[in-house]
Amino acid sequence: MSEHPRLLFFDANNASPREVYAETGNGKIYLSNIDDQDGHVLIFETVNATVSATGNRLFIFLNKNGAYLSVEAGHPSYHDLKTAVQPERKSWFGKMMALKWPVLVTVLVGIFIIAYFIMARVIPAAALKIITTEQEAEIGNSFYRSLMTTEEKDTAATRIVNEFASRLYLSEKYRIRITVIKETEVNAYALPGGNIVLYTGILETMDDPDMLVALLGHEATHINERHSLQSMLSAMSMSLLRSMILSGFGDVGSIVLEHAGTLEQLSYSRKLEREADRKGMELMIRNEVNPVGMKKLMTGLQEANDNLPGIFSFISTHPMSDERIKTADAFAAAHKTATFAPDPELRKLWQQLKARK
Amino acid sequence: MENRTHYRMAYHGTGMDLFRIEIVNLILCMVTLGFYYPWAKAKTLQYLYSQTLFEEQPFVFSGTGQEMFKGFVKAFALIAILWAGVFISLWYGGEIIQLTLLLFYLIIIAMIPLIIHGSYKYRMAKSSWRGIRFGYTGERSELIKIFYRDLFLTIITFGIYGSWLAMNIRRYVLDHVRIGNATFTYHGNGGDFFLLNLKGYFLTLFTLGIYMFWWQKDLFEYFVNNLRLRQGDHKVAFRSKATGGGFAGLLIVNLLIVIFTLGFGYAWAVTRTLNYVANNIDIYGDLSFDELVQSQSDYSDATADDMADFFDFGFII
Repeated sequence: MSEHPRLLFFDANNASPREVYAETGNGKIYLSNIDDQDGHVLIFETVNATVSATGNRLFIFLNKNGAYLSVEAGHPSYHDLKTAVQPERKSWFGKMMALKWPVLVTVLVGIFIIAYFIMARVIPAAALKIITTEQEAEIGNSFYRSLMTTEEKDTAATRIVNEFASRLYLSEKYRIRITVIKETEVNAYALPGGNIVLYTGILETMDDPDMLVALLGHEATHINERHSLQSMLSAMSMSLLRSMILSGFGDVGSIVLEHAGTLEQLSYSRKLEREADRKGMELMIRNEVNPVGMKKLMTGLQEANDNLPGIFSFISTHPMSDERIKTADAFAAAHKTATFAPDPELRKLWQQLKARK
Repeated sequence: MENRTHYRMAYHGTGMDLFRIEIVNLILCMVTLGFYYPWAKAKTLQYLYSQTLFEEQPFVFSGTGQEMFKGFVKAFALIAILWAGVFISLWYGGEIIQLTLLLFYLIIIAMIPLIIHGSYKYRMAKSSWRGIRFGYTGERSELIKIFYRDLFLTIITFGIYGSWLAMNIRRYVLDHVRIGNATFTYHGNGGDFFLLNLKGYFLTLFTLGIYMFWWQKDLFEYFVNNLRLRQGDHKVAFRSKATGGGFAGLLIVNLLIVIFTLGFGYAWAVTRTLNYVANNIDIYGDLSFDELVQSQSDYSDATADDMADFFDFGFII
């Protein structure tokens, strides 16, 4: 270590430093050798210079060739040089580096939230507008085909339930087709474009044709309101966002964000379920079926949930909450005085369905 | 080595500074849909270099976002063409899917030596110390020869020759790194490296992972201790002072930092690692660095360096 603070010049030709004097002014830095007698002076423009601070030193890079000055704190020229060469402030990077870290973190979190809503809502909504009903049916069918390759179809039940549905008004735009799968799991789902898939397990929980009308009304609403397409699109664009975050933010951060996203998605999907409940019951009324069937369906599923161990996808992602049952009850109560005259064929078909074995 | 001197090396960066740089980078990358990435990389490298002082003078990274953006676009175009090829053949191919994927992987593997070569050429030309540029003087064709020969031997020995592959490549590359008119040399060999890994693997297994840190220390030591820098008759040697316990402390605490800060503490983990590395290499010899003369040429094509990023190679070796 030197005893006195030094100002060293490296000329980018030779690694050996020269101790120099420095003067600043007129946007220039003038350097002269400390032991040079002939008064030879090197001149550099401050606009080309950049500065970096490390430890107690300042390093001033004078040109693109890599010539630079190393100034120790306490050197008489330290402050002159420091003020002569300003740190980068013109670029976006430079401007943002001048901000305090809590501001930066807030900006970052804000951008994440905006990006999330663009990917999870705006893009799927835009896609929803662009995709025609025919294209939707095509997408749904290709999903249907790939899902069915591993499933065993209950042909008799499928025939009866389809006939049952054909006597109901379920959709204006879509041709509703139902497939019953031999599977004890209590589950039912709707695919974009018109396919509804029921597991025999869910049929077992029903003891009334009105309950089947309720289920079909609920699932048909998912199709009519394009819920299935929406969640498919948002799942796709979310996975895109996830991979973008993963590449920029490391594993841990993306896992946290993913969970936050899943929670938000769940609350959104609950909203869709409530809509399907409500519009499903409206369809029941339109078909002259007592909407109390929806409440019966829900209580039946809740009981099935209590009786059956394990994870059942319909119930675990769409919990049959007391709140949903209460809402259905209130809806039915409002129509208590009304009289219902369902198509008598429905009961016959229902008995056929129950009698098959 | 008479008149042996111990040289000073230290990392002066702080976690907070690096954190701010990374956050600004991340924000700018997000709002530009990723196009800022080359500039972000330049900023980070410039900072990390500038905070590393050897003999009280910093390393300088003089690569720019603009250069790397050009490389980024070229690398992206190359990869896009490759992917397009794969998709087209998957679409029409039907039965030749396996063949296409195999071909795709072969092309990527075939590109590895080209990427190493180009990446080193760019990185070294853009690194300097005391105003003197580093340089990489290896021949592309030589590296390709070594890589393919050793890859073939690795395949027919079911991976055992992999240690020799790694060391032959490392030796070739490091033997061709210069700073000004001084030359690096590397003395590691496949046999020693294989035994080191064999020992590390089995002891890690037997100790339920605890030996991992000592294995890490051995790998670090094998890299550092076999490195030399020479200029004429003068030499500089490197000795690792790292210990298994030291690595355990470093890596465990780093892991905890990253987990408990949900990833935000990454910058502090990096800072701790760089501090540990800088403080645990003893560098000594009789070379006077004043004698170094600028002798390596500049090179500004960053395509291979960006390719290395796309395939997540990190900076190799």
